[in-house]
Amino acid sequence: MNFKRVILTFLALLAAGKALALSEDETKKLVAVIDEKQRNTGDYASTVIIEEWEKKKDLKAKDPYDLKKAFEARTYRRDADDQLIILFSKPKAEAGKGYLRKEKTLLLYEPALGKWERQTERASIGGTGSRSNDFDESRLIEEYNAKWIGDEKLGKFDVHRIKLTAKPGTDVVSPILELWIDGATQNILKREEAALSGKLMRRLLYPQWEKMFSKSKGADVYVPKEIYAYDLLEDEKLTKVRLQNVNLDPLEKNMFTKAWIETQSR
Amino acid sequence: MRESLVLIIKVAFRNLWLYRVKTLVIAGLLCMGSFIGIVGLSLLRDVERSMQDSIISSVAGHLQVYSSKAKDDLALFGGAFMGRAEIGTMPDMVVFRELIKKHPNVADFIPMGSDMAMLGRGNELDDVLTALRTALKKGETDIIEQRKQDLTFLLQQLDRELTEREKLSSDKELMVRYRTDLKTAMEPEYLASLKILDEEKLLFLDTRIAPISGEKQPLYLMYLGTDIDLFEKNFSKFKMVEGEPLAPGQRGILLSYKVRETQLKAVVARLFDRLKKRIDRVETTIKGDADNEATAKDLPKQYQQILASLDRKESEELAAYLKSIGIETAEKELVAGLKEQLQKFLIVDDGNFKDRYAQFYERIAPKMKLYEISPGETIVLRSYTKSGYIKSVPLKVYGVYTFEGLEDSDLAGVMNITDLVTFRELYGEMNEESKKELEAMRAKSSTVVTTAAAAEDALFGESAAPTLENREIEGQAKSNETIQIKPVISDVFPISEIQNGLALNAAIRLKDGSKIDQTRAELNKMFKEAGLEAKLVDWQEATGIVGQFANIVRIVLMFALGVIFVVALVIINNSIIVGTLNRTKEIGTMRAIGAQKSFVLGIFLAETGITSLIGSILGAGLATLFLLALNHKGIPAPNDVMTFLFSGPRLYPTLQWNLVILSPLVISLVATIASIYAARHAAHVKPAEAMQEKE
Repeated sequence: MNFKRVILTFLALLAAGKALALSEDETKKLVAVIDEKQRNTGDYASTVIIEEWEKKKDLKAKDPYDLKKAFEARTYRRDADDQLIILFSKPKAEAGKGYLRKEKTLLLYEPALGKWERQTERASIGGTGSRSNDFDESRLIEEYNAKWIGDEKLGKFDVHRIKLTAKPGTDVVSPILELWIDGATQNILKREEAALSGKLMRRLLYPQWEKMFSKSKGADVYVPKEIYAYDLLEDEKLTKVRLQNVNLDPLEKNMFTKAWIETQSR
Repeated sequence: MRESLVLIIKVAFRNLWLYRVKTLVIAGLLCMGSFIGIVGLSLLRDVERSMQDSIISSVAGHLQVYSSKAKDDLALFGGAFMGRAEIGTMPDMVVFRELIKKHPNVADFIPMGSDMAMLGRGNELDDVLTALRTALKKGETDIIEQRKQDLTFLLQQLDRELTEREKLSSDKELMVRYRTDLKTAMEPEYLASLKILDEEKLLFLDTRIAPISGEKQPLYLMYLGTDIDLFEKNFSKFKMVEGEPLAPGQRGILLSYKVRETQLKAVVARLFDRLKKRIDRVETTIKGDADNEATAKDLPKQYQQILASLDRKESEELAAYLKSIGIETAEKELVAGLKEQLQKFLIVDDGNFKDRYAQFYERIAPKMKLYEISPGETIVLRSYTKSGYIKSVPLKVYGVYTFEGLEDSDLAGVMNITDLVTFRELYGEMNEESKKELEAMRAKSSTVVTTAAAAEDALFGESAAPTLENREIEGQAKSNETIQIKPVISDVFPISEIQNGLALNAAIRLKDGSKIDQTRAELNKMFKEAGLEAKLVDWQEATGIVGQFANIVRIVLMFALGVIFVVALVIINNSIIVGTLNRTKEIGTMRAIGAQKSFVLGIFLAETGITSLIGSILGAGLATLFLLALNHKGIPAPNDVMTFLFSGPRLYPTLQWNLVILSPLVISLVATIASIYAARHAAHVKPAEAMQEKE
């Protein structure tokens, strides 16, 4: 009797598992949906607050992390032209510093010098654990091949776990990604970035998403409100990114230029 | 007694002459030992003295103090493995300073902190594009045209460079993109139409064209943050070479002369300098010297650096000048022709070097940007803070400094000097204002701060907040609203800021340097009584492996002297024993006619004593002459490490009279005592046995 019950349970689980399993096409479609949900055909602006938290030496401390650095910046994006601006407003010592990205080239403006310097795409933003691609358009389907790993629970959420491997010849920051996607909303809840060797580099958690209507797209755009990025190589240093005042109205035509950023710190 | 002593000496001299080959060998060995001993020890003492002078008067002081919690030893010139040493901090230097300055022999306390910074460099195209943009902004028509000419010239060079790369690169797609972009930029109307500030065109040149030329390697600069006023007063070798010193309370940086000459100077000029220095100072020729030959071989490859820094007018002038000194070309096109002329000009040999060096500095160098950074310019130093974040601070370069006599030293001259307030910022130490600002932002933060392992549960567990928020209306703020930001970076600071707060280590100058050990012991006692977590090291320990150099040399020298001495003693003993066997009949006869054992013993000891005295006195004499000659001429420092050890480009050894007098006496005494065993063996020859020996 008990044996029969076990077999039935096993078969039921197997059937359920089969029902949840995603085929290659379904997985691709899911990744495409993630890109599409975040895609905004028009312009994008937001205020971003970046906090750097460092683990305390006393692990038994009530609050295990110390705030070491905090920045406030405005980000502007024009995905159609592959352009991005990150302009710092706080703290005072960093105010006016700005990043301008056009396609693969990232330029940094130092207002104290009035000089521009070319940076590598992998350059961290303001010396924090965040990177310029954290604020950028999602292009997963273009850059990666996707494979379904399994369906599992992440806290109280049912999630699809998907592994992404960079397509040959694609220049991406992380060659291997794993995503935990909320089955109900199809938003990313967790993302792990690994090196080619498989070594985990960063873990990002997206506890809050915001949905808003974009006129230019004629559909909803999903934007993460918060990102928790743990640097798994450096003693679990935490970078918390908060996005506020997201706005999808068209930006000035000539905004994505050196001159525009320079005028902001005059 | 006197008569037998005279007799012993007479017999000893007779025997030394009789066995003169043996005498010559032993005397020669002891002569060599005496020579090496006196010269070696004299030089060692001079090097020690000059090294002490270099270190104490440049950066270390007599003593250095740092935290006793340090994980690593303090190594001012870098440890065995270069990198950041964990030497802890003195969070409030006032406590240390006040206690240390209570000691009557302490003259001053100079706070310090040092680390490494990075400097981004870009390329020549970036520089020209920046200059063009500035001219367009100002609307300076003449300069705009000039810069456009410069740019066209550089694009032509880039075109050639790309042709070479296309042959070698496996990334064909990238090369096609580069070629297409370059073709667009080189279209005559593209630049011709650039008469006003066309940001789009300029951005294309910045983001699509300039990166084709690649990046220079980032520059790594060591910097020392200190109280510049105290530094100048206490380190007598500190000297400004160019620009002005940092005024008290002034934020800025002084570049090291050595760093500027070896890292920031154009490579072509560095190669000329290198050859000149070796030819003049080490007195070598180019031909036959592997180092010089390699440098001379590298020179013609540097034509590109000269070409890249010239505009069309300068290129024409230079081509004409090179023609006037007999360097011609059949090429009609300016760039190709000048390239050929420069390659020919840069071929140097012993016959033409002097002229080419002078011609380079008179006619070519003034047209080039000889140094990447010069006084008056502002640079951005980027450094990893103690927490591992990158911190950048813009700093004006006020001047170039050196340590007198150590201009070429890699060790003392590797540090660039900045103020302690800037050091603290780069180190990640926040000032009061920054702390308040951070605290305000912390108060506003809603971050769920937990470890990576616990974060998932905290953010996605049962108590987690809903993950999706609907916002049907668009943002309240207008997206095209601009924010006016005024960067607040003050270039001055109150003097009190530098006199209080954090330092990593501090140099202690003593009034009487000869009491260094005593002062150190007394200060240690004072730290203990005050419960201060401080560690004291002397100048030699503070300089890591560099400071240990004199000890290493001493060990090697002593070992070499020991080997010579042991070999000499073995030979002496052997020769006495062999001599005894050869002279058994003679000894037996002497004993038979009434010579006492002590007489025989005396003869052998006298022989050794006289031989070693003559040999070592001769060695001492030669050493004296040699050292006097060196003192007159000086020993050139063959490389930059030796420059530091010699405390200048030449070491002028001094004669240590005590060594000249004492060495022969000590050597003779030791050799004579060491031969007692063999001499006793000879004295024990029995007359009867000696008589039985066959002829």
